[in-house]
Parts: sequence; structure tokens; C-alpha cells
Amino acid sequence: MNRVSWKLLTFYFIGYVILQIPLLYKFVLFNVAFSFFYLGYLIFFPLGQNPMLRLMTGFLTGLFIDIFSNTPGLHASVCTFIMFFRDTWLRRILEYEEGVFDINIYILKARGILMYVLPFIFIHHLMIFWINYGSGTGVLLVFDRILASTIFSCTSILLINLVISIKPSRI
Amino acid sequence: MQQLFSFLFRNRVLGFFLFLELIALSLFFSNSNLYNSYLFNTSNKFAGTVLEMNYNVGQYFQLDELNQKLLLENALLREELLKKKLGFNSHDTLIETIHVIPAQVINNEFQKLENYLTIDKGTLSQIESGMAVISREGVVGIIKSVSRHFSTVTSILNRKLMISSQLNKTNTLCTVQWNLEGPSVADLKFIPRHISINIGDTVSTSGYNAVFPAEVLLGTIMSYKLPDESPFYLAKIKLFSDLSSIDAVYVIRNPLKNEIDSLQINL
Repeated sequence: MNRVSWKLLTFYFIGYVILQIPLLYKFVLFNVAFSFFYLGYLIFFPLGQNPMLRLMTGFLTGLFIDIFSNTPGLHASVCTFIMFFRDTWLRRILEYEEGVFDINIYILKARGILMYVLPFIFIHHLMIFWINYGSGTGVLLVFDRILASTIFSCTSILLINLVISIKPSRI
Repeated sequence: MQQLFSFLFRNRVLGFFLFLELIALSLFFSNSNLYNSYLFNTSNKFAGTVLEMNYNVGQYFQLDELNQKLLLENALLREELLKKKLGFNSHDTLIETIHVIPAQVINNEFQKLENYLTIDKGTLSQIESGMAVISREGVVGIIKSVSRHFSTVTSILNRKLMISSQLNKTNTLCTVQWNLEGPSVADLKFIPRHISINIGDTVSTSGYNAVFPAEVLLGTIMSYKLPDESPFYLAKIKLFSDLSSIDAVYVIRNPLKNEIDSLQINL
């Protein structure tokens, strides 16, 4: 799978980012778990792309969410930050040294989900809540929200990916 | 230059990352009320601290000047006070001419049998011998001799100096004289037997001798005896002015002193 499927990427964008907009602060469980499933677009962004393009994607996606959530710069800065070291991390997990790859749930498998998707979402949520809370020790007060939101976001991201991505045919 | 460009090119991803972060964070901070208030408070605190330090340092170097100004102002206020006190029974020329001159003590002694002080004002400041010297606490002494820039003061801690004074409670005339018992104790003499006195009664100048103005505080009675054979009490007072640590004093110039003295000498 050495070619990036732009059609799939468009699907991803619609399924994750566009869908997120109307559901941004409405998709809340028990007032604790928020779902930022737009993150799936960044998680499943093709591996091995031009770093500039990767950073720009993170920045613009974050900014796009920011515009609708009325927090200019918050999501953009966090998304840019995690996109900065995403590829290095993902290559280590998948042990793919070279090349460009589409990423989906079937390639990641359980190991990829545990060591890449969950920590990725956790770091993102930690930063979002921390910055939003605005104090150093206050993060402990919203820690339950961070954990619950991480699980909720992860579940929704994986479910959406199951719908969108194509299961590779066995050879 | 070449190296700079190649360095920039090698780190272009990091540079781009920092650039994007900068944009995002500046957007965020400029729009977040919470962080704006943080920034405002912190910068306010910082600026306040720096300004305060600056002010304190500046103040420190101005202390000398400030002291002088305060001394002058005090002298002026004392002058006003004396004028007011004398205003009851005196004519206008007196009110116009009584004068308080601030001075600094530059030499001080209190451990000898006869003690003198030196102050930093002399004839140039219109000081003459025989003028009264007081401090903010009370009586200090009388000018003994004067040069152009300096004067010596017969301290109240000197056997030769007897100050006409009064017991404030009963207005009884008496005399204060040092008794060699240390820098804060003096004898109170010539209080007649029929006056009842108590420990803690205040003693001040009488104003009868034209040197000291009336009611400059001297001290409080600390002990007294009344021997059977004596017509007067044997009392001691604790002086208000601590002559062992004195810095600023005021010299009082009463221009009518000569007139009063010359009138009294004819008796």
C-alpha cells in the first residue's frame, strides 16, 4: 500500500472533522466525557508525508475546530504539537522504516491502538483540558474528565474508522 | 551566511513547527480572558515590584535631603506653636520675631561631670550665647559660646545649669539641676513642703527667665523624699530627652530676652 488514497483521506475528513462540528459540545456523556473525534483525522493521516504538509494539516484542522468552538488557537496549538512527533512515534510502533502508507485500524491492530492511538488521544486531551483550565495543579481536578474523554474519543474514532476504512483482502 | 542558510534548511521542519505554534498560541492568548488576566496580573505585580524597588533605592539616596527638609519644617511648626503660646499676652513685634533654628548635633558628651554639646550652626545662623536649645523630646541646654559655623551648648547634664521650671499640676515654681547620676536623671529642687506631689507628675520649663519658652517638657518625677528638717522636697525626675542619643535640635531665638534681662538686673 505505497500510494496515498486521496479519496480515502477525503472520506476521513468528512467523517471525522466535518461531522465533529455539529456534535462538538453536544456529544457529552454524564457531563464528564467529551468526544473530540476529529482527532481521528490526524491519527489516520497517511504516514510518511512531507513534514510541512503534516504540520500544516494539524494546524489547519485544529484551527477549523477552533473557529466553531470559539477557542481560537487552543486546538490548533495542541494539534500542531502532536503532529510534530507523530511520524517518528508511529514508525517505531509499526516498525516501518521507509515509504508512505495509509493508516487504518487493520494496519494498527491491537498493539498500535494501545501504544499509539490511546496515548495520542490522552496527550491531546491532557493538553486541551490543562490549557483550558489554566493552572498547574488544577489539572488534577479535571483528571476524571481527561480519562473519560480519552476512552470516549477513542471508542468513537475506532468506530468511525471501522465504517470508513476498507478491510484488506487476504492474499 | 552559507552555514546559516544550511542550518535553517536542515531545521526547517522545527522552524515551521515553532512558527505554527507561535501563531496558534498568540491567537489563543490574545483571545483568552483567563490568560489575559493572568498576564495582566503577573506583569502588574512584576512592574509593581520593580517600580517599588526603584523608588526605595531612590528614596534611600534622598534620605539626607529629606531629613533636612523635615527638620526645617519642624522648626517652622515649632515657631508657629511658640508664637501661638505667646500670643496671649504679647504684642505683635514679639510674634513677628521669635525664631526657631534647626541644627544637627555634631559632638555630644554625657559621661563627664560637666557636659557640653557642639552643634553645626553659629553666628551665621543668628545664634547667640544664652539661647535655649530643645529637641523633639524636651530641653537640651543653653548655648554657651558661638563661632561663625558652630556653637557649644551647655547640656542639661551639667551642674552649672539650673533651669527654672514648674510642676505642671500646681504651677509651682521649682528648679531642675543635674545630679551626676547618669544621663537621664536630674534633681528637682525648691518644691515647698505644703505642695503634695506624686510619682509621675510632669515638670516643664516655667518661661520666667526668657531663655526657654514656657511649657517645654523636662521630665516626670521618679522619686521624692520629705526629710523632717527640710523646708523643701528632695525629688528626682526622669528626663524626657535622652541626651545619650540626640541628633537634631532646635535653637530658640527670643529677641526680647535682652530687654527682660536688662529690666530684671536693675532690681
